[in-house]
Amino acid sequence: MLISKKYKNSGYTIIEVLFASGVLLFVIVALLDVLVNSSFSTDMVSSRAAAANACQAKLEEISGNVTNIAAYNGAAFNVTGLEPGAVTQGFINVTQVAGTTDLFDVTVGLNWQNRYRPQNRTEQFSYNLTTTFVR
Amino acid sequence: MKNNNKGIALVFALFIMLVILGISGILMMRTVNTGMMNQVNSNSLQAFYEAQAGLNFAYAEESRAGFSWYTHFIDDDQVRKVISAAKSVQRGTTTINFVHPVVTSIPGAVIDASGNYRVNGRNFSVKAYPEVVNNLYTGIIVIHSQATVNGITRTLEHRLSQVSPYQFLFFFPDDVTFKNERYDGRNYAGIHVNGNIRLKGSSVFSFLTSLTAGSNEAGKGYILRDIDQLYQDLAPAGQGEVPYYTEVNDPSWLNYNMRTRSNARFHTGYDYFEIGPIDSHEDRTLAYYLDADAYLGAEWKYQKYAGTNLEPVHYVVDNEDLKNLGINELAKGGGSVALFDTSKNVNVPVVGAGEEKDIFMELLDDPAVTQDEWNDFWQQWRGNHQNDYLAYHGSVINGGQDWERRFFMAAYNWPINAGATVPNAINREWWEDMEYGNDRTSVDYMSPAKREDSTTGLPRNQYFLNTEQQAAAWASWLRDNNLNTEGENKTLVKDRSQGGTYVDPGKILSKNAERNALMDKALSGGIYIGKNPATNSCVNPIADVTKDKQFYNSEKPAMGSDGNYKPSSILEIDVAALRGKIESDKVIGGALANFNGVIYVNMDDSECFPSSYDVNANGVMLVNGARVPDGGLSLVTTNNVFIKGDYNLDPDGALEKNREEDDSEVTTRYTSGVGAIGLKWQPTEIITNREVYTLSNDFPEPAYMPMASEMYDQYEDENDHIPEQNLVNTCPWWPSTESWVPTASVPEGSRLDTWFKYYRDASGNPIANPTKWADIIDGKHFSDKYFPWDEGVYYALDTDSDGKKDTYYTAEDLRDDAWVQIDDAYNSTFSYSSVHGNDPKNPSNPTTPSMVNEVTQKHIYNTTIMSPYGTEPIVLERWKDSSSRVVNGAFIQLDPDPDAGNVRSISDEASPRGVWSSSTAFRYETRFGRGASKEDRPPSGITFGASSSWREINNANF
Repeated sequence: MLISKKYKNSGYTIIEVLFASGVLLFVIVALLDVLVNSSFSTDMVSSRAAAANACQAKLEEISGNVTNIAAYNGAAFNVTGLEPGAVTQGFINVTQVAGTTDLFDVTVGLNWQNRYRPQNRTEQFSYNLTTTFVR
Repeated sequence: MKNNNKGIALVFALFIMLVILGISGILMMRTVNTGMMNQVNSNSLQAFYEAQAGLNFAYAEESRAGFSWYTHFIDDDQVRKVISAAKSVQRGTTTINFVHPVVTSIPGAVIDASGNYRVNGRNFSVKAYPEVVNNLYTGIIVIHSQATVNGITRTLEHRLSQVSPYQFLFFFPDDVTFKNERYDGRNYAGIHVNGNIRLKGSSVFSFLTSLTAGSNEAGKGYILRDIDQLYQDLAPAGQGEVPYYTEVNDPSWLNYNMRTRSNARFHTGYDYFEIGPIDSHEDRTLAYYLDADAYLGAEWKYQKYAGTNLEPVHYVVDNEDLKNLGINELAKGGGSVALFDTSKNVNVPVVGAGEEKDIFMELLDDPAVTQDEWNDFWQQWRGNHQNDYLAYHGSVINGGQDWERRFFMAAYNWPINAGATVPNAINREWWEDMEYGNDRTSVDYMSPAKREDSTTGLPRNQYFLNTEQQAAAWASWLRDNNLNTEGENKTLVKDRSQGGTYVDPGKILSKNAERNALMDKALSGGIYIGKNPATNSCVNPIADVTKDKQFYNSEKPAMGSDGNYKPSSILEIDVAALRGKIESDKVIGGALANFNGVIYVNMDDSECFPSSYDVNANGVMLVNGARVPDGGLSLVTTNNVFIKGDYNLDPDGALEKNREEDDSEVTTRYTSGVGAIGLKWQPTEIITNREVYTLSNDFPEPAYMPMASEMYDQYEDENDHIPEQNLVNTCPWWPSTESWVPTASVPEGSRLDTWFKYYRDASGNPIANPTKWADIIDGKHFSDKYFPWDEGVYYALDTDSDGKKDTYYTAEDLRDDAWVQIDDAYNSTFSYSSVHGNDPKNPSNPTTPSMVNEVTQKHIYNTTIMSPYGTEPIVLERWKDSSSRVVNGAFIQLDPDPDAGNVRSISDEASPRGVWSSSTAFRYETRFGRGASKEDRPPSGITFGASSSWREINNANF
């Protein structure tokens, strides 16, 4: 009786398992790209936050030294943490507001790239903050 | 039922698939949300800086228009409205002409249909209008700038005053009474007060560029001589008589506050001016200019009548006052004039006839003498002296009784001889207006605040100062003395009567640890220590140059929940190590490579600073700060700040640069044009809503609660069981069995010695000469057992045993003598050097309680200080006469009103214990010598805090 019951309850077939595995594989492969992209996006967001902080800090520095604002034009500054193991160079553009001698548009920005590892592709990013200072 | 599991693998796979899909979905959502948040933050930041650009464009427009450029105005209903037509609006005495159409001078700038200022290609919108408070213009231009970037809107407000608090050597947010301090602007900086400047004592204002006052409140913003009491407060309603309170030990009770004068002076480099009323430098005295006959409106009036009295307030001298003065004369001897006259006799039947003094002693020694007999004696004394003053001076008596003059002259030891400088009107109205007479004509009558001649007591046509009442005369005096203009070696004096205005300090520091601009600066490019408001985690990015420690604050100690003193928790920052760390990071591109100079320390969170049982007493200590990081250092904290040792000295280390206050060599070198030596002090500032302590380099950071400077303070502590220390954990002052209570001596031949030898108590027994003084101490004062704390107690001794009293002592004199002996013993027994030796840094027994250490060095602290507390010195050490503490920089007092949001709650603060210090000099100077060339001066005395005068406001308030 017991033996008979055992044979009757054999539920898995090789076909069934193969089919189920195929479904799982399909889903995982389909989602893998999404997960990788998600990770990449998180890195990008983190980088953008770091870039924003760096640009803000530089603007604050300039605001404390407005008398020498012209000297900042074209000056570079280094930021770490945007690209793994690399130093990113930021830029500062200072331009006099047309028709004035005491107003200066200041843009502080960063350009960097993040690497998309599985496919080894890179993507370019940029961030900049702009304001106007009066000297 | 048939059990068939076929297909279960597929179901299981589908389940796993769903789980994976769910997790993936959550991850994606998180990623998307983070990205969106990041985008929102980015847009918010862009909007912030765009709004800031709007403020700067508006500032440029204001600058071009002479700071009279407006897009809006406040109407009579206090509503802000667009300028739709040219109009003039008067508030008080100020009229502002609003221009329409509003002129814009920057290319591309326009006024849009809503009346707001815009610039083509930019996203900001600006409103500018003159602030109105209490229907008066405050002199402040309010600029609002709003910017929207991708749907995110932020709005900033800048309160533009043409005068910034940061340009002053001293800035006070409310009324200030200047007493006897010296304020040296070195021709570089000035003083501003948002309130009244009260002059009391002899303050010296040296080389200030300006002394200004203003306020938006009625009756404030003026300069006046300080008066602490009004006449109305002195006399009971219905009468003008004020009892002349005397005691046997001190019959001199004249109300000092009513007699307070000011000899405040201005030094301007070439000359000096006194604010009078004074006797010297007559031609420079302001009082001379306040002559009502010469200057319209010069007269300033006082209310000298109490209530509806018809008589002016005046002292009443009764028999008890006379008796007290008589006893005083017996105990202390008469001065240049005595109450009793050896040439005049009295006759009181109970004791007989004789000289005034002899009969007085007889009456005093007889307890059976009745009040009527005393009255008889004083009546005869009055008759003896009814013509004293007239006899000597031959002057007309101005009211009152002549015997009252005798009383006052005896009480104050004024010479009675003819020609002596004695006011002749000593009687009814002793104080400043005693010559006014009984002249009330109406309920609201006010008497002129005239000056008297100190040699004759007669009124002069000169008046005390109150610029609100004397604006015209004040203006004349300022103009005639060139005090109404700015310039080299000039002082501009401008109070509200001359157009001085309120200066808006902005919001510098928020209450407790609320998010503020300075905190943001520390978080972005600076150093933030404490709980990070963004991440909610405890951070200390410079932990390798800081350390936690504790010591007892002897002046304002921490109090535990058990009511006992506790050590304060201190975060020590090694400035030299920090400087090295910054320099290193610059080389390797470390975290502090671009340090913006701001350190914000927030010790208020118990998670980050677990020993913070009393946040009011915690603090930050700066050590090794003789040289600060290049570019400067701003320390911002809601806690106390301790600066240990010299701070921010010139890196070149030349002695003349690290000078003492008013060092003549440095001044001379600057004045003679050798200013090229170039001081290199860095811009530094301490911003706190607690207190700033300047400590010597030898401050021992006591591991015990230092004993109070005065023994009775220590007793108070003991009695309240506040300290927790080895020697004083019980109240040992009574009884006298405690071994640490010092033994004092009784000098041979002293009053105490005589008293011990000859005085008998009520039972006729002699008083034993104590060896332990504790048995005559009971609390703050001495025991009633021997020296009752009653000013009327005196002792009469028969020292030659002839049956007559011949020596008189007041109890207070004996008590004072004993106190000197006890105090000397206390001080010498528990002085720091007696307990620990002479090396504060290496005490021989560091945990044994003693008094605070002594300082003989000179220390310099080159920094600006911003605190809601005043300039009164706070000391934790005994600064000896040879020592000095000089702060070169500026002092900006934050508004101490809790509602202003600058000061934290201090309701639980322990009462100051009082550290006695022979030298509490805490002098402020600007950092640059008189005559320093303009390029040698910094653009501002303060670097980082200035830009925090903008504030973000609710978008709806735009």
